[in-house]
Amino acid sequence: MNSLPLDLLVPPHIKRFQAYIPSKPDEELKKIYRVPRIFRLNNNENLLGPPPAALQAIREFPPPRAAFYPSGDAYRLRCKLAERFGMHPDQFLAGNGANEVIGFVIKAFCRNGDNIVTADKTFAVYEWVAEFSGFEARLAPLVDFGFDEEGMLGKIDAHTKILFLCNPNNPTGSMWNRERLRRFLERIRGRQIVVVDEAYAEFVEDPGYPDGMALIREYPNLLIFRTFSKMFALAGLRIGYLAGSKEVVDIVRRTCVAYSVNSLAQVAALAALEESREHVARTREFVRQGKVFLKKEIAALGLPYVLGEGNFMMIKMPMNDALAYRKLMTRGVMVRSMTAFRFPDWIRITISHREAQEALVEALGKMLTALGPGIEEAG
Amino acid sequence: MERADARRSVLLQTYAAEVFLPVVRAFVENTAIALGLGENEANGLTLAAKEVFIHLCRAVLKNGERVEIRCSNGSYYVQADFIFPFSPGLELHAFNLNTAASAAEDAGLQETGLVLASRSADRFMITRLEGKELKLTLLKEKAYPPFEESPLALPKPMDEFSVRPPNPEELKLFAHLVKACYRDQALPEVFNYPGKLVDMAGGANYDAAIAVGPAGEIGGGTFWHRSGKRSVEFFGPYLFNQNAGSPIGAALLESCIGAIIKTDAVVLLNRFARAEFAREHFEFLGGVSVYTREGKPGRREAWFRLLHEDLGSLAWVHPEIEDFLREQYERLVLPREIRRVTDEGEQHPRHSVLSATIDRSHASATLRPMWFGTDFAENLGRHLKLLSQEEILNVFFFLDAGKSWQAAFTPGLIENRFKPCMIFPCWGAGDVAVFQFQGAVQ
Repeated sequence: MNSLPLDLLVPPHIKRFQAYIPSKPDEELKKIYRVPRIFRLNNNENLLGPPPAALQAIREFPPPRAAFYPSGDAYRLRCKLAERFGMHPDQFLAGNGANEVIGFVIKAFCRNGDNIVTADKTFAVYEWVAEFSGFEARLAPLVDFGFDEEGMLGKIDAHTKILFLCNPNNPTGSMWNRERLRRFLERIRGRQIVVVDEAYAEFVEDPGYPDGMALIREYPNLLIFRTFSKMFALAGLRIGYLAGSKEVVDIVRRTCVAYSVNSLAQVAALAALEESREHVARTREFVRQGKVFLKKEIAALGLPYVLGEGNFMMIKMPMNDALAYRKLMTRGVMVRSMTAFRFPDWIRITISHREAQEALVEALGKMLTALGPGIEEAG
Repeated sequence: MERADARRSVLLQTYAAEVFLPVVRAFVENTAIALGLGENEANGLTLAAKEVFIHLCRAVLKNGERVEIRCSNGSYYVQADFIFPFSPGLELHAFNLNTAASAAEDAGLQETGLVLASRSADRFMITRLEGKELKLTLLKEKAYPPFEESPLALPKPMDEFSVRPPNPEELKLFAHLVKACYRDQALPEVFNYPGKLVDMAGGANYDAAIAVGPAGEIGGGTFWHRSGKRSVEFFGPYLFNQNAGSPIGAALLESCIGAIIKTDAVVLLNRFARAEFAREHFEFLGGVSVYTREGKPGRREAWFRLLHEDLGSLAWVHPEIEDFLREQYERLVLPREIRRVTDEGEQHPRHSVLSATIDRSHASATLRPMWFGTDFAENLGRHLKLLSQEEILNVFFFLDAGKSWQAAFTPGLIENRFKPCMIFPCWGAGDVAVFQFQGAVQ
């Protein structure tokens, strides 16, 4: 048999792209790092778990229904979202996690030679999807850990189709307020699609945080992304959605894969929305307390940190982050090393239960002690 | 900086028969000149190509077998690759550097075939390609005028700076500043040839970044290149007249990481770092004593950082270096499942084959295993003798712990006075154990 001519078959933008390698299952990691348990502080999950109503819906899901296709366009969920936000069901599209809707939007608006604009140090999937789809991702550097309006605008050219803004930004927690977002949208003047990814919106307590859904009425080029993975703790079921003006969502729907959101995810998400108020309040309190604890402990260790909106925190390490990751893993604490986010020597941690946070602080303390004096200055 | 669109290459398909030798010579010589080599360098490459082709015709391939010769422009060098089929009947041991073209020429071993070819080229290597092909590579660098010292105004310490890729003139100035500010330190040889640095940065595998102040002054810089399928080598950062604790070094590293993080590179190696910078941002792999071409002793240290979270891997290890590897893995906190490889009486082929990469500018050779054979220890001894005659003062052997069959080379290495000195994590299919020849320099 002739050898596969991959060199000819694979386009250059795929050849130079590196596949994302997710972490191994806990059982494997425990063996590899020889630890009895692992605290996962790497994925910004909500450690309180899903709202009780969603848990109930999952428990009550009739197994025989697995034999049937789900609602192909998450009909009931879209109706519920429309009711909640005072919009039309056709203004929503559900996806297999918000990651999937990123792909829908890029496919809907970009063609050969087009580009997207986003920040250099933000959720990486906008850049990845653009690049492996063959479109240029133009990256504006963050300024003071936040999205830079001028930098983003300066990257726009005649081929720019979409701007991605992560608000609040993962991993820095920085946020654009209502005025700033509105000013940005005014300056875009409807010439490009503006995506505001609000994956962490429900964690934000700042009263200046913009109501993205309401802005859609004024700015038909605005798309809002939301997810059930973070606040609603349904990450394992993979469900997210986008919202926008009817005419824009109608275009995006053309590239959307129907039936990609499974039945269990749809019923759990629906139930989560029924009971969101109490769950959000409980989670915010949990995150608030966790942040108070970590701020004090990390400052006491002499480590610089960045803590904004969202259920995560970034810590600057006095060593490279890949080493910090390995050392923490040997103590059963799993964090996100931030080189891949272009924050070398930083780690990101999820606000978690007290036991996990104490394990993190203890492990960091031991690592710093092992490094010896003078490390604080180096950090 | 303007970058060449693609690596240009020209292809000749011919057959292993000496009647085609004039065709091969004319092809390599004319292509080398067309791709930018000067006449002397083109002659050197042509001579090397001639020796390789004769060697293939006489000692390796059956008469009339297909041979493909590809000459490519690598911006600062021209490379000639000989690609030919690997078949079961192939005389594999003929690929050893120490193999004469024919038995009758044994007496003049060092003057024949591949040795002569390696001498006329700047780099020479044999690799096994995916599928059933072998590639023999000759690389000849273009000639560049050497660095000439000129009076330079050093920049003032900078509070404000931005990091960006340099243009060619800035890159040359960067090279001059490095030579002026790091006079007493070991530097990559490329700084002796600023024009070469410009050509490198214009090629496919090299990139550079400089830190520029408000008036355009250069406060520091770095450059990096893809040194392997999964690896990038980082040089510097070099800072010019900046205060201790300046953030410029970290910003330059960040710029490099930003450029490579979405590629398939998994490890960043640094062999020319300032120790105080490396300690903070890299992990120490080890140091070796080396000799310059003139026989002057020096020391080389290697530092690394992984670009991704380490999810663990296997290491196939011969018991003779198990303790060494365990110690390295423990020190570097690398989670590895060590699997012992021992000889349990199974049969092996008689002849071993080694690939040699010779870098004459650093009087250095790196040997890698291609096939294991029971004659390995003797074969290695012959290589050492030959390399000594070639005035190669630094000999290294790379064993890939990700490939189980390579562990069998360990006893022969120890017998020939090689000692494991460090590992390069994730450098090959797995981690690469670096051995250095400890014998007396001839």
